[in-house]
Amino acid sequence: MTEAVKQLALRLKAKLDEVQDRDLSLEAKLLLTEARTIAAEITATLGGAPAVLAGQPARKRSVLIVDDDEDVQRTLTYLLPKRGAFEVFTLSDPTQAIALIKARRPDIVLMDLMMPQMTGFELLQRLKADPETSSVKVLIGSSRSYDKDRVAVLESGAHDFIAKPYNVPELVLRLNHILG
Amino acid sequence: MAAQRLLDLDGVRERLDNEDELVAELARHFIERAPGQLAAVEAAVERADAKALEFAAHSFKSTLAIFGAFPAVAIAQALEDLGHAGKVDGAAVKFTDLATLARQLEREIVSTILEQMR
Repeated sequence: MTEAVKQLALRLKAKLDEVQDRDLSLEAKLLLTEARTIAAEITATLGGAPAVLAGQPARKRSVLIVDDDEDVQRTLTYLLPKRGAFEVFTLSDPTQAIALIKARRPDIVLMDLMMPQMTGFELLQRLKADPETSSVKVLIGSSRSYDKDRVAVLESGAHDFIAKPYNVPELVLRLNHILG
Repeated sequence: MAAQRLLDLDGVRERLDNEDELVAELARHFIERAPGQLAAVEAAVERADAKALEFAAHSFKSTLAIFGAFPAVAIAQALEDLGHAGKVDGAAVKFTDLATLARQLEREIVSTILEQMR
């Protein structure tokens, strides 16, 4: 049963990858990206290879965005792949992040500091405390203006901190800088 | 001193790397979601729920900041700070100011972004 669903998800992902998106509207491009991400997540959840990562050229770096703000997800899902060799997948609920990171092994996690279910600071501490996720690179974004937040997240092992709203060219530079 | 503009369209375009289609998409989304976000702030103020006020004001501030709506962002930040400190004193007055600016911003976004990009 699990294997059959996994194969279906892989076939769905392959079909979605065949769609040429250059002539689509922005809304259709966003929907297509979300559909590709969902197909990949089904495969990963069932214990299969992370289909999105396996199906892309090695030079693309995967970015997991953990942010409950739909505008941030839409903006970065659309712009990061256009402005750099990035593959983006998103998560609104930070409580699911550790499991997803273990399954998908992103090159970097861009997380919001203030989310209702769990703060980015708490998620960062959990990531660093788990040997399976402690080495993942983390960039923290926040519109909070408290200096102590910036210091605390950097002391806790985040690679960098960036102010929100994101300036996309700046974000691309920071991601490239961290990823080398 | 000149009043700050309600909307910083040049700043929005710069942050979004001049992707005007995306700017329009976010503008449409603002019109859809801003009333609900504002209502969440109002509800937190009415319940005198400082924690809810902190999150609701923070969330709305993030939406306002996309458009460089600095006067409204400043009030949302003040409400967030109040909630962060566990207080709601004076929040009702600040909310009234925020609601006024948010409605002005909505009209500005429609006339400056959505009607221009039709």
